[in-house]
Amino acid sequence: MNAYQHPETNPLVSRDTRWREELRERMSTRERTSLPRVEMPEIPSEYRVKCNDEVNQGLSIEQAVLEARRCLDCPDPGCMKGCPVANHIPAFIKNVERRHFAEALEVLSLTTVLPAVCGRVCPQEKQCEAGCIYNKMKKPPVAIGNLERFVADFNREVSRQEGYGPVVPTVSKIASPFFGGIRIAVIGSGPSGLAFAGDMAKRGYDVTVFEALDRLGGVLKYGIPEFCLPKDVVNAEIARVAELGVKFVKNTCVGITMGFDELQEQGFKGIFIATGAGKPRFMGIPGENLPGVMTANEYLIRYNAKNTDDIYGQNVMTLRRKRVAVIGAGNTAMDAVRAALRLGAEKAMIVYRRSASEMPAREEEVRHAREEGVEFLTLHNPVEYLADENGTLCAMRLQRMELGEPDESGRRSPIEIPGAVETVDVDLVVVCVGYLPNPPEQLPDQLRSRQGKIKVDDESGKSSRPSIYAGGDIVRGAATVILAMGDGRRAAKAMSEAFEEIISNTTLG
Amino acid sequence: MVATIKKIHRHSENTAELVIADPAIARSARAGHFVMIRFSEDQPRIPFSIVDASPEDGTFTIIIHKGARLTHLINSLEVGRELPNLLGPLGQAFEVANYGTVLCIGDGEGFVPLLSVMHALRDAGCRVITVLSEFSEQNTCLQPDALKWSDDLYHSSSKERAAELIREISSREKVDMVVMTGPSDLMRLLTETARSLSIPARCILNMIMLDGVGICGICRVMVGGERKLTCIDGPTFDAYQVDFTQLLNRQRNFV
Repeated sequence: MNAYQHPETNPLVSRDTRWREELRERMSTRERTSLPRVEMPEIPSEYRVKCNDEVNQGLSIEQAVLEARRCLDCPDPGCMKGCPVANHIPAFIKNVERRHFAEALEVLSLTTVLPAVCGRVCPQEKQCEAGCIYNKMKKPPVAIGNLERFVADFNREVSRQEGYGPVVPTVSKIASPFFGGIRIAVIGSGPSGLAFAGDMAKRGYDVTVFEALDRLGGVLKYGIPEFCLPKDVVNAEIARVAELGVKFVKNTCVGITMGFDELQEQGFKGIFIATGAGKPRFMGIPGENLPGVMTANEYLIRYNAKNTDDIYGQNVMTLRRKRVAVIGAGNTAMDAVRAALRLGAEKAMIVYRRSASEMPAREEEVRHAREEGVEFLTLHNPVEYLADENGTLCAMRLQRMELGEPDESGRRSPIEIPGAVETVDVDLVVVCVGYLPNPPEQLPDQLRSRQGKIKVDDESGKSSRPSIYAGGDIVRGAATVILAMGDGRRAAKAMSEAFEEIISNTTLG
Repeated sequence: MVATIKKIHRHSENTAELVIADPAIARSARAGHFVMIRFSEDQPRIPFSIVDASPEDGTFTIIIHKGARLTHLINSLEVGRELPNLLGPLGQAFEVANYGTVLCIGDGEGFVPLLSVMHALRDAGCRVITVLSEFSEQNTCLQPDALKWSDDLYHSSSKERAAELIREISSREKVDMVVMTGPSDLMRLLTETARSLSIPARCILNMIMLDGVGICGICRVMVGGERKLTCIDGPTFDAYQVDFTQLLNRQRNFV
């Protein structure tokens, strides 16, 4: 089966198969559109802030099938256009509707290696679900993200439980062993690296992923907390990539532990750099180096590691503070402020210089934060952090803002209201105002932009060195998991086509 | 290949020297580099200076001190133990050149980062004068190591005495550079002394870090008005440029 290259001939994907037609005829459009969107079951907010359990509980089988019936199986699906990895969305949803859950995962696995992750952390409201036909009818779109998550979770649970028959063939490997002798190195095991590695392995290449830290997954592990994305879910998805034959090498920082030339000496013919943007940014205001001011990375790494209060010495600044302010309103900021509540904060605040409608975080994260009791100090911008007589943070000075004309990001720009500065008492400030790229050491200078990003061709991800490709946050600056995955997939396609071209142009003698 | 402990040399109940087999690190380690190690799952990742490396044997050496709750750890280590969580060499290497006469000063406990630098400076033709502060009385055991790379060795029993020694020595002979490490209050004093004598000074900072590759931001320090991360931009900085007062304020929480 050559489904990878020609999905339209794959009977699980093609819209023209008999089963798809039967399914479409089973219910009228009117019946389908009259169904209300199935709400994701959630743990009540008063309970969830006392534990680390995942807030969204996932759809049941019946809920998933019911939601799948809402999908009209459009001939020209708008949802797929909004998906950075071009998932075959109607195809997987219709497989859910006919209760072929294993096949639904098979469809997803053609295009994504992280369905359980993306079903949880993608901003669907801005992507696939924004393209859904229901929006035109002024109705809530099909819950594509929730369905994707259901398919991944259901199949993971089936293969986990013994005595449930053979393990579902989750990922189809399609390529010939022809490329098996070509070694490919991936630098970084975050979403972009995993997507690239998965696609290259499916095409038959010999892929090795190098990770600097001692655990795989990149930001999925050190950044996103358990209550949004359980670590077991990430591990299971990485295990599926490993099943494709991808090798993982931890504790290896390419550019430091081994050089790029060393990679080439070891026979790696292609390199994909996906080291992400993990270097924290600061605002450059007075007091940012006070004890009590920390980065979101420090806060979340320590939160995720749990017992770090004990092991960094007696005087270590504990994360358990009464009044916590998180600066910024992206997804990471929401994660941090919600973590603060779970660590027992009495007052957990988001401080954001624009208004609520400009917040970059996903709608769901913002809603969850509100439900849990987070205070939103929008149109406030910190200008200084103040210390008590011991030199420890005790308060922040906030400048009130108002909105002016739209700036280059298209959002209305914040403007200071002269003289409107207030002081708010606070015990801990978590700075979360963006990230800078982490380019590897020893990277040839011509590949770097001034901001430390790697310069590549937008479409292919190829750098000015033919053997080096890059994608994800190291190219974009801090963005999302799914955009990083999309880069990985496009780079894999471009790199493998480059190899195929070389081979097809080669003759003996 | 998983790194393993090849030799343990226990200097005292407080100090152990570990020789670790890891050919990749041994090959690329330079003076001033460090490694991050997690000895067991319930331990944090801890940065250790690389003291010595032998590319031929595929090994490198670190020195572990009691403190940072590592006493139990020192006692529990055995030869042959695998270290699955080891990353390095990290940081920027010390810029080695024949500077002339270099005065290397460190407090016993914090002296370890200087050893590889002294070695490299000696190899580059520098005259190395060492001032070993032993006011913590714990680390006389480092003296043989220090002696190996020193043309001259002095002792001091206090911060103030260490600063005085800079003045005394530089009045007798020309000192071209001071390289220091140890507690930040010691380094602040030594830097002021070096500045008053117009002797260039380098400091090797000793900071807590979670990842060692520029993610957590705990090891941030202001250098010449710019925010630097000790793990990727350091650990060696131009001492004149470091804001030690701010650093001391931050470090109170991480001792």
